[in-house]
Amino acid sequence: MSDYYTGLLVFTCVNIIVTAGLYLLIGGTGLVSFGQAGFLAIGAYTSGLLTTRLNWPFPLGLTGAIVFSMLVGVAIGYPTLKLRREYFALATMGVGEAIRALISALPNFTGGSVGLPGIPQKTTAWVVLLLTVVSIVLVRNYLKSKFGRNALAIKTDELAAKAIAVNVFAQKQIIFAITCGLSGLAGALLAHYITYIDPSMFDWNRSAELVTIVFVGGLGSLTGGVTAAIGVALLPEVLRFANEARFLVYSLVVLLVIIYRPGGLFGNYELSWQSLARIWRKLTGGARKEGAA
Amino acid sequence: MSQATGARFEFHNLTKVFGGLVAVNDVTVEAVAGGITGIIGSNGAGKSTVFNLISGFYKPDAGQVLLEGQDLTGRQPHEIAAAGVGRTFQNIRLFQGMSVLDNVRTALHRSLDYNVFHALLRLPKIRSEEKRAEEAALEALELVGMLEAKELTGSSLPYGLQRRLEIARALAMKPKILLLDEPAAGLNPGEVADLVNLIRSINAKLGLTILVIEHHMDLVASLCQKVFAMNFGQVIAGGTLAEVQNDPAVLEAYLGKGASHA
Ligand SMILES: Nc1ncnc2c1ncn2[C@@H]1O[C@H](COP(=O)(O)OP(=O)(O)OP(=O)(O)O)[C@@H](O)[C@H]1O
Ligand SMILES: [Mg+2]
Repeated sequence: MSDYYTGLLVFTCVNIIVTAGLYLLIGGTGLVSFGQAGFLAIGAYTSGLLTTRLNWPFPLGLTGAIVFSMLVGVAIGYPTLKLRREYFALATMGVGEAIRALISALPNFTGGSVGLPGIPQKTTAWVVLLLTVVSIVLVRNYLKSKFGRNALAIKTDELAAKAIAVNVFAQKQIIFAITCGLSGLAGALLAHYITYIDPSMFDWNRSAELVTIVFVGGLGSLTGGVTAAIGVALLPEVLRFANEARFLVYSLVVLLVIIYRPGGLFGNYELSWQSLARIWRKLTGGARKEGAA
Repeated sequence: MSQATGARFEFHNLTKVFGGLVAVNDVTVEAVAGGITGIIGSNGAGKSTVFNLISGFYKPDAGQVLLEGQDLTGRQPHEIAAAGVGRTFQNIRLFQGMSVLDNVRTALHRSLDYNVFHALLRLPKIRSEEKRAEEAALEALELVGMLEAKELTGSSLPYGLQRRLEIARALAMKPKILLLDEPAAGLNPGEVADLVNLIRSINAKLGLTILVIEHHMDLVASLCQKVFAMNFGQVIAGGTLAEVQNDPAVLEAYLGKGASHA
């Protein structure tokens, strides 16, 4: 695979991994985090520093990135997850920017705003593909379990969820930890591909872009989120001739979705083996078998 | 599924003040163990607030809530529910968009024996546990006579069925006591009669201690062994319905207001 396509694949998969986690949070509990770029940064810097300063091997660097992002997620979640949704969104926005500011403010430790160069390039096409599939499967499994039902209950009616003994706060903590862990993983994979990171890569625009992906894809559809993540990663390539037009096109797409498909592009549609089989049957001429159980 | 004897449940001297308003004032009630206890009273008397205090949605300013002698006062709502207090809401609160079956299945989470790691990896255990959940959910739906509606969306149901579903959801938790806040509100006379039969059969089959807030006197008359009348946050009378209805304080309260809820 040429460098160009590997790069495209890595950026796309990084988007998908963050989106899968953010989808779990937004689609699951109704909470929106506007600070996920900060957690990408935590993952990128954790693994970047562990592998360059302490010479940890890449897999341990990734693990460290996931674990540390989750820990920060739990620490941030503890005071914020009890807030009303609006305040949670605001608080996470502040957290994202604070993380970025902190990285810039510690030049001796992180390289500051100059950035951290020389991160070993370890993220291959296969590694990133494998971890993307694993991330999607984990999120899907979570949503298909009793924890997924609890999350949906919380999103729909927190009071009623409490009345059936759902520990709302604990469930939110688990989900936010997973969301942040996946963001951290994505950040680390990115760092080990581009080999150089600086705080400006993880700014507020990036966080907003990630939230937009989930909303465009549809709050009831992981398939939609993944598709939108791919779209947003590929869009700059399609629009390379006019980088300035990128945000214009984003805004236009978001507007059109809000107006014509308020439930997101995919609504509640979820790709499954059954739906794939149905599509396959349609494509192959619809030879239907009756009565087969 | 049935219990030999219903759970003992009582609360003492419950008090709740909102700003300057004493919404619940020194309320003491001992429920009929394994029976049905009614709470009546005009609008704003503080009945729902009592339920919200029991189930932990409001913190009492004073008083004590005891389930089988266990002190539940001041605990979190989910802890109180886990301790065995099931409830419905005056304004039905279903999980909109979920199917009837899933509404009930959600309430079974505590009895499903697997953790987050099992769930993320979808270990084989999940399949058998989820199968068990489905069976238990169907059992709860059968109890309220809603098996055929299991695939429908909760919010698409007629009002009467939504109320039944809310009861089934509470029952799925296998509670020790059940709080019903105006279960007959908004129902037509035929539906009220069905509901009376339903509550009676649940009480008989499960031996469940039930507290019910109601304005429909015929429902209270046919179900409740003991009734408490509330007015302006206080219990003004307690006893059989006949005793309560003839109590001077109750007559005074109802006639004084010139309105009755027949
Ligand atoms: N969260 C709250 N904040 C302030 N006041 C409240 C609150 N909840 C209830 N109240 C007040 O407490 C009083 C009792 O209300 P409550 O809902 O318990 O009455 P109720 O007996 O259930 O009446 P209804 O038959 O209309 O349901 C009312 O005056 C109400 O306005
Ligand atoms: Mg009320």
